[in-house]
Formats: sequence, structure tokens, C-alpha cells
Amino acid sequence: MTPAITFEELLAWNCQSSDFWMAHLDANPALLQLPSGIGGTADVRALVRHIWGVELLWSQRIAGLPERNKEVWPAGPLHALFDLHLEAVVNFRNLLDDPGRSWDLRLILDRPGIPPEVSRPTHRKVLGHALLHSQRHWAQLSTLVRAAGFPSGFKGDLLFSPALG
Amino acid sequence: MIPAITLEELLAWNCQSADFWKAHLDANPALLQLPCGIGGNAHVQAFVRHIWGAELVWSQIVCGLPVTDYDVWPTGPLDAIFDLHLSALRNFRALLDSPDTSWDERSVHYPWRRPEAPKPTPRKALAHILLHSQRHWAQLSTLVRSAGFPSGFLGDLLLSSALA
Repeated sequence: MTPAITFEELLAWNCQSSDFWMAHLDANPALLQLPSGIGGTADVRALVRHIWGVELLWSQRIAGLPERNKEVWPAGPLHALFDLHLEAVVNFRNLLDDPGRSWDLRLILDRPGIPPEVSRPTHRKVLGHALLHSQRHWAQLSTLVRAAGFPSGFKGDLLFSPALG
Repeated sequence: MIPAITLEELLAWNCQSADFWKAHLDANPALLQLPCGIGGNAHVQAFVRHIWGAELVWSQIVCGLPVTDYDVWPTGPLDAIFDLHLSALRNFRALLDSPDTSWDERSVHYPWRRPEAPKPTPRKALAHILLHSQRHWAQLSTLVRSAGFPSGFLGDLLLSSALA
């Protein structure tokens, strides 16, 4: 057996982190106004919008659905941003539930910032990227709010997640 | 086929990130003295020591080897800290190459585990430590950029050649 983490497990971990931050930011809305700078976002609200909006975008690309671009993502309130994540999860769920799906199909990503040698990723790679992209940003957000004097108590390590048993 | 990322692929991605930061910090040693605060580390050098030292400790725990205590990890120079990663890598490699590893057995005991916490499987423990580093590299990337020294680190899995 080749040891691996399934996308079911990565999706469960992803959802746990999203649920934590949704609840934490809902309970501490002033955090949304903290300056960010991560990924070119001006404040925490924009960073969270980036995280969840990108999930939706990748889910639509893999599923072959019409893409809803950044310009039409809601700027707020928080629940509207969280809906981007929830919609992405529905798409991810449908993809994972399709037994006939070929994960070796490739996306064509000819755009600035994507080196040519990685511009034809498989759907498998893109889904892995989409789910882990969020985890990397949640780690950055955890540092951001703590550095601003508001530790969140976020336990983002996979070790602490029940996603893998 | 159950879609998944193999631990081989996660290890390859982990090594790419470690190699990037080793080269970047080698070329920009002043970054090692930047104040940090992440994980209770005073500066970047201590933070990097935490990242690579944790890899070594977890590799030893999962392999059932004696654990090298935090107190005896080198505090520098960077090459000595990077050796922690390289030692961990050898252990990860041996683990992945062994046909005898029971990946889904809840067998991993780590010394600071709370009694109520279940023992993780080797699969979870290895995935945890490989991704622990990636989460911290993302934080380090933000830290050095915020201090005025963008690294150019392309840490996303999408931009890695570890997966096709």
C-alpha cells in the first residue's frame, strides 16, 4: 500500500479550519478590520474572502462549471463570504462522490505567475492545492491576529484534527 | 481509485520548501536575526530550528528511535540546523521504503500526548509533520515580507513539481 492522505480527509480538515475561523470571526468581528497585507489583501476580511473565494473558483474549474470571478464575490458580510466556502464544499463533495471521475485530467493554466512546467496540473493536484492553500493561509492568519494582540487559540496542525482518526 | 496525495509526494514537496529556505537564508543570513515570535521563537533562526527539529523528533517517534531532545538540537549555524532536516529525511525515507510499516495502526506514542488524546497512526503522524513545516514556511514567508524582505517563495502545492 502506498500511504496517502485521501481528499476526503483533506476536505474534512479544511472544513474544520473554516468552521473554526467562521465562528471565531463571528464572535470577534473587529478582527476583520485588522490590516493584512497577505496575498495583497488590505485587511483580514479581504484575506478571508480570498481564501474562500479561491476555494470556490478552483472547485468550479475542476468541475467544469462556470467560473465566478473575484470581481463578483461579495465583499461582506462574513456570512456571505462563508457561503463561498460552502458552495465550494458542495462542488468538492460532488466531485468526490463521482465514482467515474478521472482525476488525471488536466487543467490548462496559461497565465502570469504560473511557470510553464507546472501549467498543466491534474485535477488531483488542483484539488490538493485548493484544500491546502486554505490551510497555509489560516496559519498565516493565526499569526497575524496573535501578533496584533488577539490570540485565537487556533489549533491548525493536522495532528489536532480528527479528520484522519 | 480513491483520490489522494501520497506521503511520497508530500515528502517531495516538503524537501522542495526546505531546500528553498536553506538556499534563501544562506544567501541572506541577516534574515536569521529578524524577530519572530511564532511558536514562541525569538528570531527566525530559532523558528527554522523549530521547523527542522520537529521534523527530526517526529521522524524518530514514528520510527521508534530514541528522540533527540530539544536541548541538544544545535542552535546554529544554519548548516547544522539543516542537518536536522536531513536526518529526518533519512528516517522518513526508511519508513516509506519499509514494507513492514503498519500505516493505519494507532501505534504512535509521543511523549507530550495527553492521556485522553488517541494515539495517531504513522500515516497521520507523518502527514502532520510534513504539513507542519509547510504551514510554518507560509508564516515565515509573510514574516520576512512584512519586514521588507520578500523572499519570492512559491509555497503553494500548485507551483510544486512534487505532483504532476
